[in-house]
Amino acid sequence: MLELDTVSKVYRSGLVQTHALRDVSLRIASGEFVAVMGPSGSGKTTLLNIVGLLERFESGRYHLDGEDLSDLSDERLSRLRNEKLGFIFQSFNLIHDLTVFENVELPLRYRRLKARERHRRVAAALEQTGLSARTDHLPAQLSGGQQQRVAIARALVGEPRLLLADEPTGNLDSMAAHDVVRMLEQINARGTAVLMVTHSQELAQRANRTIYLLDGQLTDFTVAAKPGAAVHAVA
Amino acid sequence: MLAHTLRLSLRALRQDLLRSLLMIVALGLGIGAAMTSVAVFRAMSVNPLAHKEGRVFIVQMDNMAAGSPYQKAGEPPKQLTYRDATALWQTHQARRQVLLYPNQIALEGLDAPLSPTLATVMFTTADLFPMFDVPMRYGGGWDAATDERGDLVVVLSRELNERAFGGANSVGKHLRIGGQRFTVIGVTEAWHPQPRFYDYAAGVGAPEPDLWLPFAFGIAQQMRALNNDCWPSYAGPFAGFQQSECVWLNLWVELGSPDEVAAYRTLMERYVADQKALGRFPQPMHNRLRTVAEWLRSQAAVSSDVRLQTLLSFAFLAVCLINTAGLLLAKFLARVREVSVHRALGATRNQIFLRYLAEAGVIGLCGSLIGLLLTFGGSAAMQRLAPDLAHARLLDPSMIGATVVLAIAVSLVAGAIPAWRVCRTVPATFLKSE
Repeated sequence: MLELDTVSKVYRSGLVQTHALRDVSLRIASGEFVAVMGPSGSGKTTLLNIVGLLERFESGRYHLDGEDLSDLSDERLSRLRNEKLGFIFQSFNLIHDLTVFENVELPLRYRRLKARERHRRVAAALEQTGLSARTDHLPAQLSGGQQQRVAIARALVGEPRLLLADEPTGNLDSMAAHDVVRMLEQINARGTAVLMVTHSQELAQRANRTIYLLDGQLTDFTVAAKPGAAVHAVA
Repeated sequence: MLAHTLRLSLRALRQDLLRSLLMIVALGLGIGAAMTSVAVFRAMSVNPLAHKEGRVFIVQMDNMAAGSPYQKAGEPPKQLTYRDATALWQTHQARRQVLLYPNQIALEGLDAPLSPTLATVMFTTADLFPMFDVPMRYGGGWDAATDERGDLVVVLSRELNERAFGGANSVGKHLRIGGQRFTVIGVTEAWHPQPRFYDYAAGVGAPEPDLWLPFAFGIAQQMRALNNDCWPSYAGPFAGFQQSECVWLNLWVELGSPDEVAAYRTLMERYVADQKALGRFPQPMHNRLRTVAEWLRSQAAVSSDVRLQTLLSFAFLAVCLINTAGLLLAKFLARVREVSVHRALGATRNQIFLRYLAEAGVIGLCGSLIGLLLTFGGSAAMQRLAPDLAHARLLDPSMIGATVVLAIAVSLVAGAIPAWRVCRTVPATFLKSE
């Protein structure tokens, strides 16, 4: 479904160049749950941003469902983000002055769906995340766990092919974190691929496999965390 | 999507109420100042007969005494004496020609419940209505034969017709004017050319005419103009006044081609030469045959003060615009994280740009309301301060529309750069940070 081929990303600030990613190659199959681990500054979030089409890369190729994304217009990239990708962030990133319903509805508005269809899908997503009773609340009126569930509902509502989660439990207590992970597993079980950045070994073990980044490069092994899977080389 | 965008814009304004109010007030002040100046400038400068520029001319000749120029050397009086104006009129050399002068006259309803009142009258000739394209609501003007016969007919202004006949078609009805029974033959639409070029000597702010009567009737009634310049001053009988050097009549001519213009100039030159031979016109020949635009320019319809005031007010608007742009930039940049979320969810750069431009537009719309209020207030103050403008119509629907359009346009200009900046941000930069 997703294939990165020797993708590199360099940040430039004056004369200083920082190689955030170096020749990263990665494949994710449909329905796969992949965790990304590595120390701070290793390029995990950059990888997620590039996969999420939130950032351009310098070199390499990126294919999503067979389509080469290297030189697409902003319009096309935005549409792909809207239709194929879902995002969950550590800091939830909800719009503070929109209600729960309106937050979840946003991706569907950008997809220009009719109001009735939007309403149906948002109601289903909120039902799935246990937030049906909170539709008119503002994010500030919810707990951290509830806010992250809103973010999950917002990511789900567009029925994405790939869910990108950047430390989704980083700001949550253990109970709320457990809820969130359970939801991610449920989403994955229904066929949505998940790429999750995490610092938590425990969380990573819930993925099908874990990839490690160090200084912008994938290390030469992955770990199959779930029973029955084996450690195998990436490259 | 548009309704959603506008709803989000309104919500964003409420969220940051203080800054929003600051921008709205800044825009309103700038718009109010600029539009007040424009209203004054427009009342003094626009050529109301632009579509006939080059065809309609005012006739001026210099009959001033030797060594005593009218206002400045080389510039003839604004009006003509009776004998000169009627002498040129009688040549019938122009396609159309109009004599006119204003006065006031007693008026009373016969077929209308109009109590006796003093009305402003413009005594004129038949060609005025077609020459100046006076729009008619009912009926029409009179013809040359009426001028000859001295029929007692009247054309009412729309406003007087409203007062006397409740706005109904009054053609054929009667009014007592100057003690005589007049028949209404026409009612004009609201016709208020700004500035009132056809009788500029009366001043921009002179009262608008309530009715139009045949020139011959005014002369028969021995009515002089409200504004006449005499030297030496003349207080004798009307017959003497008609032969005096007092200037009090406006003569307008319509000429169809450059040849006709040249021929009319020759006519004026011959006429003045003849008068010089008779001992009149001691000044050098200062004949003028001016178009409406030239006429308004020559009368310095727009004083340098008004020009400066207009320039300054637009400079002030520019300052308000820059301030608003700065505030919008600060306001928008404070929300780059929100923009990044929208981008992550599928918003294109264009959508973000339009979304924030719409927010600037909403600010402009609100600013236009304040601007309108200030323009109304400013115009009223200008009319109180400047007697010339007392009766001028500074604000009309087109000015009100222009105020709203300008406010929104200014806000869009002010919002364009901030909206552009914010839509170009790389979303990934702001999604991670708290």
